[in-house]
Amino acid sequence: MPLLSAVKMLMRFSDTSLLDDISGNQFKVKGDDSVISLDSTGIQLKINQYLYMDNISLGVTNNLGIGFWLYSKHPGVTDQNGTPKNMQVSVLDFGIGSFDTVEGDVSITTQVVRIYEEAQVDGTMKLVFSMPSNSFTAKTESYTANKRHYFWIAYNGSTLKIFVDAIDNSISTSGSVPSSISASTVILSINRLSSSGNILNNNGVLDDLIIVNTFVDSALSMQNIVNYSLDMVFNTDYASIQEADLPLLFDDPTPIRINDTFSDGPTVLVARNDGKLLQGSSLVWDVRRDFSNKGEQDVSNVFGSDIGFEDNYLRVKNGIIKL
Amino acid sequence: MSISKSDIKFYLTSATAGVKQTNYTQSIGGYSANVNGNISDSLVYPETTLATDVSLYGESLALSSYTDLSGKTFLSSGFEIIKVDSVSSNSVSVSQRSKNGLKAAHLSGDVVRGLATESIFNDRFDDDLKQYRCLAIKNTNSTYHAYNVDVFLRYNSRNPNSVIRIALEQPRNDYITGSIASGTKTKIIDSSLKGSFDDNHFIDSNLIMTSGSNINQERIILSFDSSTGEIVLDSSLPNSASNGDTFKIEPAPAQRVSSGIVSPTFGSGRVTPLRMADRDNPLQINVTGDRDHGGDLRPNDVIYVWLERRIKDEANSFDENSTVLAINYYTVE
Repeated sequence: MPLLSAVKMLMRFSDTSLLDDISGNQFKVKGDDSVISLDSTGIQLKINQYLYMDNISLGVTNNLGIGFWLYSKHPGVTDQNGTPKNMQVSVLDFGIGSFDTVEGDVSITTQVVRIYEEAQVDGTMKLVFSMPSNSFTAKTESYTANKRHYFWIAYNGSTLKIFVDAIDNSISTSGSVPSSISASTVILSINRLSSSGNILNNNGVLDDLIIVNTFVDSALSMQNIVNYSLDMVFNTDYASIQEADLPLLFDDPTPIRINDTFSDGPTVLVARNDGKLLQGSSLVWDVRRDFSNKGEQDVSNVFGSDIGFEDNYLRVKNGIIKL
Repeated sequence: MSISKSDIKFYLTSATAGVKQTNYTQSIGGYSANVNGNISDSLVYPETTLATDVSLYGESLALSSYTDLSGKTFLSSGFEIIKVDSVSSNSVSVSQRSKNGLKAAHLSGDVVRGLATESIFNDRFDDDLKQYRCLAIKNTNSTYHAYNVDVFLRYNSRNPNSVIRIALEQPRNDYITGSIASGTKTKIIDSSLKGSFDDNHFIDSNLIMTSGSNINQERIILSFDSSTGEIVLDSSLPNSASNGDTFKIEPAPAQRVSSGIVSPTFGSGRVTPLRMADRDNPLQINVTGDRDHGGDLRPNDVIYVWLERRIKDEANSFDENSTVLAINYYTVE
């Protein structure tokens, strides 16, 4: 699973400022230590690899916000008869636990949050937010795979919302929204196979992951994150900024140059670089210099790659004269 | 409460104050063509608002009122241009999102504009393959300010053989209101203006009477005497102005050129140089450093934007090119 922006992960706590990355903490790789660097913008995990970060002090009790861009790839798994199968696809999870150096794997004693995708048989995907220790699950409506989507999960102890592409999604839930969340010190994993059964590593791309202990659920905030950046919502310097836009639409014409002209009294013959020979009033031409054909008369179906005048004779090269 | 994006409107310009502009090729400086009292006149593009939210990949739009956009096949919301089936009702089918390569989510209430390729620019160029237009950006909110305003091009041109540059022109005076101490049919005196502005600070601006026996009368200001607060009008009012009558003075006009292929003056006085002006290097509206309202667009203030389009010699035609003019501001001081 590629992760862009060098796995830029932003965390914000009530008593700290927004950090561009986790100071003092680094993601570690489970499995083969070598990952593929993507031109310093991110890393690509190999199969069976995941990232983890332990001893993270989230300090979350009642308010939680998780946001990320995800290029969603449908795994396309079928059974032996070619029938598509519903599969879980890992995204991230965090829980109370540690990294077991003997087993060489993250060991979770209390799974606080699991986020995964659910591949549908019709080729779409759904995002699932689960709080296993509270037996609560929320699932989005289907969204299109092979596209980059923005997800925002907002929780405040009584309400759970999932925004997909800035719009409050009509989620289906199982269980009751937990009144609190135990996420004081956790271990965070990305792309870990966090359950047994039909779960696969993610083959998509994760970007701009943010976890905050703030409940953010306004449509305007979602629009600002999606259209602009996280700074527009979480950086106080940007809090009161607005931007108004005016797209302008227009066609660019081919610039017409005049190769040659021949004036014969009241009229002028104009040889253009697009191979056309036109006749018009010299006064109109001199004044208007319009690059359209409007009002000018094509002369006798003469066309050529090079049209001009020599010694008062018409010169046509690589062209035709239709009789 | 504060200013909202929908309060920032973009107008064509006109040679004459208080006259609508219906010809894009004549939007070449002068007055903001927004006619007094009707904020929908002379908009660069007709507009309405969205009736529902639209996600990044939404395939339909619900408009609050489609009438002014009827027949349009290109719409814009925010910085995104969207290709649609010809608008014939409030329910619009999308044929292509992100026509200009910019993807966005849109909310109910966001402004939607009806675009057309045969509007802002035409095929008439000068010998250097350049042409010019002038637009007016106006704060139409009656109460709230836009603070520290910057103007830039969010992106320049999708055609590498076509380049857009912009310049800002600061009006000589910003919008003010006043009250008459004494007056005649051709002169009014507002004592509060004494010493507050330079002589002739309001020259060529449009003065509109807002109360009294001359209500709604409009006149161009010929001169202003700072020592007395006296304003001389270009023609007589029907009645003598009386003590207590109120008035407003619109922002002064921009320079006006004779045609879209005549270059305005850039880089001197109240006009910035032409720049490609991206987000990192925007143009600021306080061009001279002593603009009446500084870097803020207060209610009814205007800043003029000059657009230069230049195409390269021997370039091929390029249909449905676009650029995005953007304005950045703070909602609080």
